[in-house]
Amino acid sequence: MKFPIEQIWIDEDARDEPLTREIVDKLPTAKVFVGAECAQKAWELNLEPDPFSRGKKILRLMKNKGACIKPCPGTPHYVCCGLEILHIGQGCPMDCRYCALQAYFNRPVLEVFVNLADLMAALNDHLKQDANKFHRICTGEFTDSLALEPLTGLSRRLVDVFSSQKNASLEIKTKTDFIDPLLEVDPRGRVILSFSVNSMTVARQEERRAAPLERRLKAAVLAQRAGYHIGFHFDPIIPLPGWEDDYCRTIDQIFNCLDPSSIVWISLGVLRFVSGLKQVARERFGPVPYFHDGFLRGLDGKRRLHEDRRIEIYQQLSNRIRHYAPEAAIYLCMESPYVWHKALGISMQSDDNLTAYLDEAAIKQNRSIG
Amino acid sequence: MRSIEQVGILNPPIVQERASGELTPVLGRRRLQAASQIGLAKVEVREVPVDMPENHGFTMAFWDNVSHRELNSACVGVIVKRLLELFPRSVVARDFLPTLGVPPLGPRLERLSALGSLEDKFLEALAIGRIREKTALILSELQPEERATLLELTEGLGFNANKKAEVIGELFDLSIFHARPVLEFVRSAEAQAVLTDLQIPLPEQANRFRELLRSWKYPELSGREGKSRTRK
Repeated sequence: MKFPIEQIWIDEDARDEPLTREIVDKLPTAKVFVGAECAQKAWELNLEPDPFSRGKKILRLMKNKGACIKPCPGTPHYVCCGLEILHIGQGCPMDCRYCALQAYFNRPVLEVFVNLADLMAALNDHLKQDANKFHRICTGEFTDSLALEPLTGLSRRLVDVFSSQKNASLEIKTKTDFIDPLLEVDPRGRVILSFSVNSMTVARQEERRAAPLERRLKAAVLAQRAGYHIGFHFDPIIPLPGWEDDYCRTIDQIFNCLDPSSIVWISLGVLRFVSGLKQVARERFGPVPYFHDGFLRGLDGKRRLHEDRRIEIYQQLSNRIRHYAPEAAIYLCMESPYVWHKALGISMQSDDNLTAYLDEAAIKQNRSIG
Repeated sequence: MRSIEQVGILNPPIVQERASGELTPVLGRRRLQAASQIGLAKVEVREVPVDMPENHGFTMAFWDNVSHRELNSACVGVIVKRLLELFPRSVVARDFLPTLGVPPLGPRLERLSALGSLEDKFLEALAIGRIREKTALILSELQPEERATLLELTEGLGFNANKKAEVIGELFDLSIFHARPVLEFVRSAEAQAVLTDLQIPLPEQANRFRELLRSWKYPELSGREGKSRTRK
């Protein structure tokens, strides 16, 4: 296990779940606390000056009692991708300095939902209920899809489920290279293995404990050979000095090693954040200069760079991508129709437009497999 | 002071003898100060044992004060800072924070402690609402000379608490983003041209200074606004 887990907290009602036992067996040196003991531990952890740092070494095994499938938490005024989130847990053992989750969750530990039977039943119902709709489902919104895979084996099980779905695709989103177990399963063209990538400088300086960029790309190559479709997410794009060359280099690296025809989509998103994140990051890591750039309050309250700068960044990156893959389905994450038009020359007026655009990209890949 | 003049000190202050032989107040410091100002020759005090631990004395003072005084965030900051110096965090959280109305969250305690470390003039500004807590936190991250200059500058320009937050926040951002000391921006030729121009009224001077900062922090926005004004 790459990410050290020092303690396991088990909710009383989750202690008899099969996945709980599997995980505890895989972590023989971790101290285990059950039920009420965990509440006291949580109280003590929250009192620490930086609960998140130690929380990343604590695994809470619990039941998800809320919705297993949620819509992407998009905000008004910007075009959202219409992704559906399969909620497998929350929190991430990596520690990217820009991570939005630091300001999003008030519980600092890693949480894994162990009631797998409930999750699978909810997923099954969801796909059957809306049988005519195409579902793009992703597990990597509130956590990294693969960071805890060595413990849970969940993604592998999900690949099995989705490989036989006609009306759905699964997107597994990660900054790790923990793909070995997935290489043993045939995704039958229904699974997209997406890698969150960045410029070399950002990946090295900001994405603490994430796999180095080269290892992520190597994993993408192996996944492609194993029959997975590939996605890339340049998000957040951070325009540090020299960003143009730095990001173009990453794009060059991608297309030097991967066949463009298996890349389902590439998303671009310039750094944006809720106002609280700037302070949280400064308290945890000291001054993080790029948070102090000229961020303005966007229509949804999040801080964004001026649209002229965002447009310039998107144009540069998309031009480079199109140089290699003219047909690539490039999309912008949480951007306005104006920026879409100016940056990519695409009229993207609503969430429905973007949903259709991405559904089409996923379905096209499914067709190519048959 | 008036009550002491009229009826004397009803509750005797509590003092402790230090190793040097000096008597120091544990609680009732202000009563003693008032008595001294009035010129009372004699004040009745109660003395606690020499070996009473410091944190016990602080606990007495804590309960004596919170029972009859409304605490602003500056006071809470000072108290939390001292509590964290005297007690383990778990004791602070269990025994004191509920009374102070502070949630038992480590990062919040760090922020309050940082506020409590500020010099008196900043605490006073915070206590009476001349600066916001967010501004005080930024000031706590600066060097003493830097924060004193910024407070003096923004008060001199007549900014209210919100505008101080904006101006000090932007100067702080510029300093971190460009990795240059915050006072370099204030002392730059452009800023000084605005700040030392005695021909323009103060509100106009203050607005121009804000605009200058905006043009540094948001060059694209200022450029667009400039074009828009030209067109009109």
